[in-house]
Amino acid sequence: MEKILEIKNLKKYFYSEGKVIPAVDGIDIDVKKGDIVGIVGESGSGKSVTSLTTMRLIPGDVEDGTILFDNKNILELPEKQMRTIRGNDMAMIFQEPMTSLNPLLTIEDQIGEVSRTHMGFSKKQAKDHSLKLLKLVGIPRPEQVLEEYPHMLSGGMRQRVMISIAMAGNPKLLIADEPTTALDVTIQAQILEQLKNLSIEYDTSILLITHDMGVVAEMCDYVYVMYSGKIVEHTSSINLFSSPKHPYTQGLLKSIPSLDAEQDRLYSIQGKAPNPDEVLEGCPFAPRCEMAMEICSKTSPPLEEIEPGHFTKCWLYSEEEKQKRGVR
Amino acid sequence: MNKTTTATKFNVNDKKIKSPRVSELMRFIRRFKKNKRGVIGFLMVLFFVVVAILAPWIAPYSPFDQDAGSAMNSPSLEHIFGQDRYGRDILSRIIYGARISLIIGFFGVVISVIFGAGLGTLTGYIGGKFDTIIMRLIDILMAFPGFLLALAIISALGPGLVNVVIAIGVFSIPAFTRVARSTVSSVKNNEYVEAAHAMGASHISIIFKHIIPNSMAPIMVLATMRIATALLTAAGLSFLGLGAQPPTPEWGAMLSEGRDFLQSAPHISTIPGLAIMFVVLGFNMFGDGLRDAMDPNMKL
Amino acid sequence: MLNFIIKRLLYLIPTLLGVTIVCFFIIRAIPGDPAQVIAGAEATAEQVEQVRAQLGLEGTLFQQYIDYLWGLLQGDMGNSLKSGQPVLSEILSKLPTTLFLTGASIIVMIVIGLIAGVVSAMKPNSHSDNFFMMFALFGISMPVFWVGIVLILIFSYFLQVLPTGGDSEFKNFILPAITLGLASSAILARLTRSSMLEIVNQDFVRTARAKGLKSNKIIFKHTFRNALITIITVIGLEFGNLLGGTVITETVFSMNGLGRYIIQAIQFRDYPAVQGSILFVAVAFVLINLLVDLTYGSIDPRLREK
Repeated sequence: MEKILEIKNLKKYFYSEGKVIPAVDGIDIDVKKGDIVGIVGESGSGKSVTSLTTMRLIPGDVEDGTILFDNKNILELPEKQMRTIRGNDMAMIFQEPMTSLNPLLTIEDQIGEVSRTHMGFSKKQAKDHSLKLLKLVGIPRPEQVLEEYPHMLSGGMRQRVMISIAMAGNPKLLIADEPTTALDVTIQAQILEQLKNLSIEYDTSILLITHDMGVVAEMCDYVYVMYSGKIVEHTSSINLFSSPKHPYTQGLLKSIPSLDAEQDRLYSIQGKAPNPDEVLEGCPFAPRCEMAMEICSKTSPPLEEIEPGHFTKCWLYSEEEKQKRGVR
Repeated sequence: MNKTTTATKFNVNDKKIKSPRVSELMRFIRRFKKNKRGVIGFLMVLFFVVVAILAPWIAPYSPFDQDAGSAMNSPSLEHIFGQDRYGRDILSRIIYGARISLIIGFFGVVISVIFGAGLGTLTGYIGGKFDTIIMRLIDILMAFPGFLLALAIISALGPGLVNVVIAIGVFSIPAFTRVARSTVSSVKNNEYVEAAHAMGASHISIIFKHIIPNSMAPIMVLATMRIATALLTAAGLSFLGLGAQPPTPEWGAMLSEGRDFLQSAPHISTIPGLAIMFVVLGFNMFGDGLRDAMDPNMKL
Repeated sequence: MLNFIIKRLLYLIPTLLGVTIVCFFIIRAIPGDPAQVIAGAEATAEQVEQVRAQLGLEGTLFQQYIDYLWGLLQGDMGNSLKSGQPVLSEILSKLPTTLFLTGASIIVMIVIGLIAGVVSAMKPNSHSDNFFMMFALFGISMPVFWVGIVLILIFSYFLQVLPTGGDSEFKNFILPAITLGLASSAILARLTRSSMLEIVNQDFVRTARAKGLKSNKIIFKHTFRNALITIITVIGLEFGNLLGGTVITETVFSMNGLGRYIIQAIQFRDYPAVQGSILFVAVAFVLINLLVDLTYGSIDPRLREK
């Protein structure tokens, strides 16, 4: 299938007080048209930087790499042209619905702004369009909400408004950065459902950034697991949940509370995620890995296809290491 | 199980109570040193303080000795800032003037810190009705444009340096009350204050041991900045003839004396003005630097 | 919104009463016997009693205050000791000059302050930012009277293009307005910059950028509008500094306004005039702050509700 987004060898470094912080360190991500692709990782893994870099909302140049959106390298576009894509073909939803809306403007204004900017709608057209969008995301009494200000709405309602803003330009790609983290569990489920329906109905691809394996399971067709600025595993959702390969992914899955299994205590991965500015030799996960071998702390493993369509970045699956340990 | 964890937690905290404050101070000094403008401001303030202290030893002439023959002479090698209408050496008068300005600024702000911050601490700590009443009173003080409040006080008490100090002291009270109140009311909700309550500490000991040390930072920054305002206000009052009286070498008064000779001897007015500007600039830059090093988001 | 306005108006009453109490005490705070001090050391007992009666210093403090307040409500601020004229009519005759001066300096403050602040905030740490912030630092550090004198030296004596003082023509107001407005424009520039920079980092500005809006829209519609809440507060507070500053500016430029009237009254120990004019300016300032509060309501929908 055709790809809408193709990130190749993306490197985004930050420089602070003489230190280099490789927030995103050479990652490849593909999003096919109509797919929902997840990026999972802990905070500080570089997943948000990836999404903001894709929108080009982070100041400064990237170190290396290309981002092909609809077969155009958007990293080379002049800002003026990038503006015509942002909010239009590529839109974004943020984590904090409480603070992501402008407190001084009506909802009508904030949704309508998009169609007025990108489609040249008149005030009246923009209003009708905004009303349609509010109905689309299932907001009750939409006519009234249009006239209201953000502080009059609940968190879930605000996130729906954010989705309407994102959908206003009928985007080909929707980047959702932890869209439900700040919401109640019941609202979470509704919002996710909504996103999934929109994706199907409008053939919009979604790049979903989350730390929540449960959300991934519910939503994603394909998953990238990110750790310390690198992709450590990627495969289809089905593969990932049925046979996770990387010890980090296994740890993440084990730490989901389960209703069926009787558990004394919830599993958690030992140790802490490394500071982004720490320079580590070898595999960055090695210090926390239960299966770490000698080689792990010396050399970083390559990202390899160990089964058809299943890639992981771990020495456990390299042929030599298997032989050394006598695994067949 | 639970008990032991709480116990260890407390021990750890006890040990750390002293050390974070020391290292915080070190970190603060390191951050301040990086702020070029702040350091320059600090050095400027230091310069004026040293000049004020050493005035009798570094002033080339007496600030009061008149010399009718060389009245209004322009700057020269013997008198690098020139001479005033009575032939007095302006440099020496500026040097002695630093004493007066700094003393007024310092004591004026001390008054406002004691009354303003004191009141703010109490109302922030006590809250409730007391807070409402005090803040209403402060609102009334704030209804007077600051300089006018100083004028009102001077007009009742009469002109003079001591009354200027009182006037600019009162003038800054509302600013300190508000800042202290908002800092204290957030500090008092901290867990260590609740813990002190639970352990039976008295209000007075809580205020002195926990509240005041932890709300000092914004007060210090405000005090530094307010010295600048106080200096400007005091100079303004003296310029209007309501502060220091002749022949006191006060900068604002010196500037006012030179106004009649602006065209023939502009140095008499302009030089004291430069002195005021630089000392105020020093305090402002120092204050900005302190604020940025403590917390750039501080609302001052 | 109507509730908001009514609430603000009710809130005004205690403040205004408080202001009158403070002014009431200006005379009564004179150390010693005020009537004796005002009448002079050589005055006869009769003369002292006459002054006492004239200034309303007889009877209990409470009775005096009630009389004072009753007088004020009828527009009676007493008579000037110097001229014997009613204080209020003297104030009103001086008012136009001061109003014009304050108005002109507000324009100076807003134009310079907002431009410098917004331009600085658009590119923090750039050359233009450094330049404007250096200007602002000097602006808040220069004494008003010194600025006035330096401007007179340059424009009146050296270039000879503007008058040294007076208040009869428009050009008389140019130097005084700059003198008076400069410090306030510096304060406004600093606060505009810092509040703009604070708002720029808010999530909703990121949303605005993610919408693909033009940078003008992002700066003015989304950032500046939110920063305006702080900016208006500063403008309101600076109004007080401008009103206070007229005293010095009018003295430097020999203008016949209310500020100079206050100083002359203080120097002459014309207490009713001092009391009346300070009360007048304070009430004006309170009303301006009310206007500022109402402006908040029109900008910020969250305030209209409460």
